[in-house]
Amino acid sequence: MTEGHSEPETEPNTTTDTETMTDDADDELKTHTAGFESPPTGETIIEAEDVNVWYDDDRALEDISMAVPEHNVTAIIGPSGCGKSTFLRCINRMNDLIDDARVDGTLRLAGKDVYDADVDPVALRRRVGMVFQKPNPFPKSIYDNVTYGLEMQGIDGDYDAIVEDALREAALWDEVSDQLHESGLELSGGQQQRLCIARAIAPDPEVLLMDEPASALDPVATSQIEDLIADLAEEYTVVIVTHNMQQAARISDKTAVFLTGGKLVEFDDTQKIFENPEHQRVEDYITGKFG
Amino acid sequence: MATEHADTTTAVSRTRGVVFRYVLLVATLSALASLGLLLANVAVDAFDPLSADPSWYLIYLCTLVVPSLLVGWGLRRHELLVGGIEALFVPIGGLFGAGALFLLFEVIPFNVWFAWAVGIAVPAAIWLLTTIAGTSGRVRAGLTLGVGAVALIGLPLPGVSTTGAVGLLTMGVPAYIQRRVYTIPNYYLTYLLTLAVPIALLVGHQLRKRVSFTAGLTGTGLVVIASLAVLFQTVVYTYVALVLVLLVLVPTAWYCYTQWHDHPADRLQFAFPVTVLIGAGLGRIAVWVLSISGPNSWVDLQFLQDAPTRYAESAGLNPALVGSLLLMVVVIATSFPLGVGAAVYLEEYAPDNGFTRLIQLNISNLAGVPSVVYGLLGLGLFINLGGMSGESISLFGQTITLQGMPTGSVLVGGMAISLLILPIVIISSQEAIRSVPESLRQASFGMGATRWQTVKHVVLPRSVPGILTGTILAVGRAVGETAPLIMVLAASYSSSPPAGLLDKATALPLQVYSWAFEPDPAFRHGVLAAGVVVMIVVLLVINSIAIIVRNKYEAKQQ
Ligand SMILES: Nc1ncnc2c1ncn2[C@@H]1O[C@H](COP(=O)(O)OP(=O)(O)OP(=O)(O)O)[C@@H](O)[C@H]1O
Ligand SMILES: [Mg+2]
Repeated sequence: MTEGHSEPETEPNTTTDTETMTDDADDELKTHTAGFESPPTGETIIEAEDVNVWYDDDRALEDISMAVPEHNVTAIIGPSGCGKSTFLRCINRMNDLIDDARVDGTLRLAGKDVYDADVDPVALRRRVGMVFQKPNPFPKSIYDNVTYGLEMQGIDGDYDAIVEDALREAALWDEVSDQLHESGLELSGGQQQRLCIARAIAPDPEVLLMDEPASALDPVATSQIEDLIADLAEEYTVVIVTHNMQQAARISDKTAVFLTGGKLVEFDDTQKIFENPEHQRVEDYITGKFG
Repeated sequence: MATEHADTTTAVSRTRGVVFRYVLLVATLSALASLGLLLANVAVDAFDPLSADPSWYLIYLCTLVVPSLLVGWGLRRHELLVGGIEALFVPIGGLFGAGALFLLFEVIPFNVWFAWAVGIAVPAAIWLLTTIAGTSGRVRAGLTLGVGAVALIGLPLPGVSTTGAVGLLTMGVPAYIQRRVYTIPNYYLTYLLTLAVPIALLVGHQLRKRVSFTAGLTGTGLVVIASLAVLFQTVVYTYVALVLVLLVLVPTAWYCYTQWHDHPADRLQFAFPVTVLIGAGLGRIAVWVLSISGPNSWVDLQFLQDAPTRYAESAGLNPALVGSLLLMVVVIATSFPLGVGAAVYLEEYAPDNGFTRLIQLNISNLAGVPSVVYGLLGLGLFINLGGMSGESISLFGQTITLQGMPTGSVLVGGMAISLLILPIVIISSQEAIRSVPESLRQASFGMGATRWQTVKHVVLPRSVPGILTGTILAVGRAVGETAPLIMVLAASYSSSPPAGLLDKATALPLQVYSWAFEPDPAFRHGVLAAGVVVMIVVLLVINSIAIIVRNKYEAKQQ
């Protein structure tokens, strides 16, 4: 794990050489303490070790190592094309669906490597829910959208109650309770995204992956979703990709900064990242000097 | 100088543009005109409009054409005409359905139909009861399938008695009824049990969902009463009246009822079909009362009901119609599952490698192979078994004589045409499947669905309209296809309708083709043209079904 964390050496930081050296040492230290020793944020649930992803011959992720704590919101930020979505897709093996994607390294969910031969990706995805960048409700009724995962996973139970709970948790119940059997496509974009969140949490996953869930939404809908994510973290572990610095600062407990080339440059408590980042490049990125 | 030059260039190119535009216009018009001329020619031959009394036209002009045009024009201004025309299509579609049913019954003996209907009723009843009782999906499916299989094919227990309840159990319901029940109800009762009861229940169920339980009961009751009421008329056979009531009256009433309720603003649109129907009825009565003779059309009921004869006057194409209908059944039953299955595999499962691309390329090429080749293929494959027919082979110590399928049967003809349209079905289904957004598949996989679940719950429901439209259009193409049929059917030309799938058959295009060589000009003009008209109508109906299916699903998915 320690050796895999090699990116600071290749970092082309030309201005402050000596500082960079100390930065590196510090950075590694920080990452470890953050992942393994800081108890207030709970046990580690997702643990990546030297994860690399290639699309054909292009390397999209380079030796990513990080540990995501349980019942927390972990934000992933970074410029476009740096591999944030790719990393998210590694966690629930959605990359398997891309013909020319290749993953290596170790990625453990609750201690078990999800790329082990005996792991069924379908079973894995039942434990790891996902919300996509663009709202993508099924062309079915709102009710059927929420029960989709339950039915596919063969979960029995009082569907009416589960649907109500999930929609309440997604802060959508009040708006749709009288039109549950109408098409989910008739909702507004923000409502559709909350429906997708309700759909993802209905089967009660352990981890919720969100890929820029608010990128297509207006400020009001965005703030609704942000409130929602804060609530969700009490029950689930949330890993969220976002392009919006303020959003990451507002809602996350931990933040990972990916920079171009598919490298994880810094991973620490959100407050630390935003107030006092170890790397100049991270600071530049956060303050909008590049990216 | 320069500007002058530029001006000339502009002028020249503008003139060229104008010329080009008119050339295109002329090309379009002449294409349309030649098609129109061809169709008009056929229509004149088939309907012989000049043989009618001028006052016949006058009467229909006054009762039907002028009022319909006026009402239609008025409705158009309120944008209600399309709805009105659509309403007219419901009874017309019902009539076609009834016609197809009667043709089908020329092939299926009604005791067979009755026996199978009773057999199918058993699992249907189980399914209904378990649904009402709220049994879980898997138990319900298991019960229905299990009981259904026993009811339909029986338990294979050799050597037990074949009478009484044991016989019923071992033979299955259909076989038992056919062999042991000697008093089969007549046509009317058969239709009543097998058609009226399900339709009445369906209407009741829908009404109960829409309105209330009482409304549902009333609906069921109304259908039953209407079905019984036909006993008290003497104009047509009771079973004919019953089928008309069930397939024309009931759907029309249902359509009117739902439209009337769901679109109160559009109620005026019913003025159009009402005008047309009343106008046609009035005209008919007037013509009959004044005993004015209409055109001596070649296309009439007799033409549809009779077999071809040596005399043009009494010739008909009933066997060809039945043959084509059965061919269609075979074509749909074979090409639909194969084609859709192949498309789903290629789009959803096949890895993207050289082999898949090779297959893909060849499917596209096969779509362009001349249809005669498919006829040869059918002949060689199904009848001669690739030259192996009649030869003996030994398999596991037993000698088996290979036997190709009988020449000229409906099954072989249908399968040959299936081969012909299979590439088209595959390609259009693939296109429909490809149009399902990738984000929906991602959503489904992300929810922990397996690939099969994703296909079943997300991909197929979304692509069904496209798949159906493509398949129906391909079937339409198949109906008119002649070359493969000449190869596999012509040798066994038959002048009576086929009695089953393995019986010799003829088909519409073949029949039309054979009339073209009759020495009697009345055949070559009148009868031939009438055959063409029937074929075109069948094609139009098939294409309209495709359009309706598409519109309906598109409206639903908005
Ligand atoms: N399906 C794919 N096939 C090939 N290359 C891909 C594929 N998906 C992503 N890539 C490549 O991998 C790299 C990382 O992409 P990724 O989508 O993970 O970036 P991202 O950080 O999520 O960007 P954005 O913020 O724009 O969403 C990019 O260079 C991209 O071109
Ligand atoms: Mg992305």
